[in-house]
Amino acid sequence: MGLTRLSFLFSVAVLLFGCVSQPKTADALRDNVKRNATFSSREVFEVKKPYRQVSDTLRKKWLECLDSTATGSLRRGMGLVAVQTNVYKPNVAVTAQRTELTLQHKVTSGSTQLGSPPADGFFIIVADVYPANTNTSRVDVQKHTLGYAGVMKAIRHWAEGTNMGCPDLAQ
Amino acid sequence: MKQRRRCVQIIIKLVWFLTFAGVLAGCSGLPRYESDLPANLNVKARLSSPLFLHTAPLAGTFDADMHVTSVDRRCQKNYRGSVKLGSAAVRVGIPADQPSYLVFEFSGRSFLTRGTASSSTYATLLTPRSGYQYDVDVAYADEMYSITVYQRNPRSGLRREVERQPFSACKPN
Repeated sequence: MGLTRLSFLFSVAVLLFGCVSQPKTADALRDNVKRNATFSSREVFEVKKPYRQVSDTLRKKWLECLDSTATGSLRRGMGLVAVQTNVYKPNVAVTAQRTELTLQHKVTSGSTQLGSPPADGFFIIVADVYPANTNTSRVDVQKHTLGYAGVMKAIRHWAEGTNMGCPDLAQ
Repeated sequence: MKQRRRCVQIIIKLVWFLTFAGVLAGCSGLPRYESDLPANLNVKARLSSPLFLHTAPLAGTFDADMHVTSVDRRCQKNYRGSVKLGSAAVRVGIPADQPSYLVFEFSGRSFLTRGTASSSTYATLLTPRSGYQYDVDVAYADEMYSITVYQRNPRSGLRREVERQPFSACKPN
């Protein structure tokens, strides 16, 4: 893909993204998803496991896997065009009725995030876990960002216990 | 003057060529971690490239490295070098009874897409106990990875998993 075309696509994406303010809180992200904002999506599923078990697993994996840094670079020929460093900050709040998992993203080099992001970056993913009944848990994952299909997939794997690996945030 | 300019141009071309050749040869340019300490960290890796573009037939590379950083009593970091992880198991010595910060980095590059590159890291603070062995299993497949650290008692052979410790767990004393 030509650099001009790539820059154009990137600019369009930024403009579209800019139509809705990037979330500075978990609630702002939920509001954006409720309003079907561009690049927002939601996935709700249930797991036949008690709430405490799903909450414990997701809390452990969330903090272990998503406290990470990823870099991406774009080159043209022999010249380096840009290197962007992305830093992720996971947080968890647990109560008897709900487990809230949040992921914040900030860019520390290579480009500038507009819209005065919070110190740990904009909120890009919020996952809530609730007890549906004694033996079933409901997982509600909401995101307002492009990509991160790997994280969405990993949450389901962790909740169901099918793959306890960490998603590669650079992919 | 003309001759001097030509000479500079030749040197620039030579530097570019050597850099390119180095990259093609898989030279990461990272200082190698070396230690005279008895080996207490055994790393085994199973890697499967996340993208076909990052494979050799398409002039791409996919690498995994372990960066070793020593941490002093004031929680100050001092980078000591890196170890390339591959199909062969690696044994290195890290200081016992003092924390080391281990950063595992997975990086892919494709020359077919004009050298676009990406990398992601997983880091943990590890304080090995004297006389114990530490086995690290590193796996990467389907855009997911896992890193599991086990502490092994060489006398009893008993093994237990060591939980990941973020750097914030380091407390100055």
